[in-house]
Amino acid sequence: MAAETEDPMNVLLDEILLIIFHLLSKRDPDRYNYRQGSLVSCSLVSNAWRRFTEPFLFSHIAIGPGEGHSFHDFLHFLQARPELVRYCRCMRVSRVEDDFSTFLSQVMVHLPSLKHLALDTVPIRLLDEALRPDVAALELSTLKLADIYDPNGVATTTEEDAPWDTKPMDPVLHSLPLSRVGCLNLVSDSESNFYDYYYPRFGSRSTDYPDLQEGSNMTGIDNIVVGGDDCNTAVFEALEKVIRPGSLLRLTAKCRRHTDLVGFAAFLRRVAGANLKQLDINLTTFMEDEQRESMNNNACKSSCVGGGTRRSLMYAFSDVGPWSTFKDAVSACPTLERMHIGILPYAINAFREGEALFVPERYRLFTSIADALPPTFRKFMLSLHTWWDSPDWGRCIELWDLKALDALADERRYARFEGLLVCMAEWPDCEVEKSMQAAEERTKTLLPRLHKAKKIEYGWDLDEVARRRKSGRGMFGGLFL
Amino acid sequence: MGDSNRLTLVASDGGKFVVDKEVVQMSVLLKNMIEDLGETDESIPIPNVTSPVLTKVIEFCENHRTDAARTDGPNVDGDDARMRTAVVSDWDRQFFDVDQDLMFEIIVAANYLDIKSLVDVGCKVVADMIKGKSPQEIRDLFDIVNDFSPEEEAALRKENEWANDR
Repeated sequence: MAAETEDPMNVLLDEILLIIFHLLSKRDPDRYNYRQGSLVSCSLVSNAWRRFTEPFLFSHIAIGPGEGHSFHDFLHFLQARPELVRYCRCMRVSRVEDDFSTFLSQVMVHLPSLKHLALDTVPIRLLDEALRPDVAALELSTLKLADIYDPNGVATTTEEDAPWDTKPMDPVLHSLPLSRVGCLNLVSDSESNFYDYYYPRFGSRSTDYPDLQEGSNMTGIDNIVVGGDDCNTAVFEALEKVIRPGSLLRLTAKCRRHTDLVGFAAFLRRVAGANLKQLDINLTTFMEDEQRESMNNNACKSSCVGGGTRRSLMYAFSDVGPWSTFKDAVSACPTLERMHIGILPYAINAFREGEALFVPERYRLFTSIADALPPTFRKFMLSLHTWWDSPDWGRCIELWDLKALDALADERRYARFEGLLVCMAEWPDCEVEKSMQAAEERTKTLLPRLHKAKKIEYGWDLDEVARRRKSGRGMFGGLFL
Repeated sequence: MGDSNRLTLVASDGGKFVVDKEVVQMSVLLKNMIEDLGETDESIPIPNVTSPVLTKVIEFCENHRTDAARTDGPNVDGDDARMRTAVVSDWDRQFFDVDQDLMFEIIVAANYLDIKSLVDVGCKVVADMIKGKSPQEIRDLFDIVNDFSPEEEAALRKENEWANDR
């Protein structure tokens, strides 16, 4: 090896260099495909930089045909450079047919830093394989399951025409080594890319897991993320059988349809809501369609019976529809502290194109939620979503009954309330600052008491705004708190 | 007795700087020292920081003196979140438009004085300088000598195929 030389950056302390390389490596543990290559370049600059970058460089490892690496390749790498593999904190295993048992026994148990494991399109064999004692001893912060299937079962999650409620999630959940998992994530990458909305993070939390209870293999789980195909009543019922009542502290759900939402509310009421502290809800277009249709039907019926203007009828029946079920869900969480809701961009197009009547405050979601929030409530996060090329995005806000959230300013009822954080997930391509100012103005108008109490904050990423302005580009996502 | 709202900092080369206490308190180190000293006319020595560097540090603190409320906001959960949300404004970029030696010395001084926002912004500026560059471009930028043999570099490139940052 050539002699190591001094470089001018040696003036920087190790801890500063680590901050710089951390910035270059930053990523969401769930987003394995985020690649920019700068860290790889840094690792090839010099021996000194190599040593600093290795822990970041090998913190995320992906195995599977799509990644160009087989289990066999990884075993070779593990044998050749075990010290590098030890840095692995996040691993994704995808589309593996035959070697899962080998992988479990020879690889996973030799990754002492492993905290996040994602299994994507992997067959889960039952007890004799997955519940091996050494694997069950793994202590993971996150276990992400996407398109998991039981090769011995009848139905599989990979069948495109399989009804959502026939997935074999129940046996899968029972067979997995989940005893020491903190967060169970049932949202696949493809779903999160396609359906996901801005998903802010309130911050991580460390937990001391309680002693395992015999008969339940998910006693350590205090955080569940469900979405897409797996956010349905059948999955909630499966989860209900394996988690310990009252053990859940955080739940993120992206129900597609109202029937799923009903199962979600029942899940909260029966087992998950008792001690829940944080609830993240992402609305979907399907449910918005159902809500709009329901309201239109009610308005139509009423019009036939009682007459009156269409606008007044909308108000008269605005408290009905699928979203009223959110009140049931929130009511089932008597210790709730934080809530995040992402509201949709899609409705504005229907109104703009004349398919539906534009009625301000049409969607009575926040009224139903605000009525049900408990006195323990501390923080509300609201994500605004819009088509990033829509000049009418600001009107989206008017569709929602956001002013109901002003009730959170009542200090007698919500003595612990800290504030409302307003974020924007997707930005217009132009006039970013104008949009930002308009959003702030509208929010202040809608929520005068919270504004007066200085309990509204804005999650605008000014750094990104400045970059976009300089480059002349629009904005899309990227607002991570 | 002098102005109780101002105090004097003495750089390692003897340079003296009279500054508002409010500005100085962006430094956790100096804030703690002021609290320990109480009301005093004594100067505070900054032995590890030269006058040119201290000038820049004070300039940054004066410009960011109103930022405290923003960084105390409820959206900040720990150092990682703080780093992610550190805003590098046009003013900050202009501020760091100095020669590299001075830039690095400012960051080191900020770290010593425990001025987190200045450390974060400085590191972000350096990270932005690195982004998108090849190993050789980075070496050229920071005047770093390549101490890998061609064989070593080839082996490392092979290893890097496992890095999920390609």
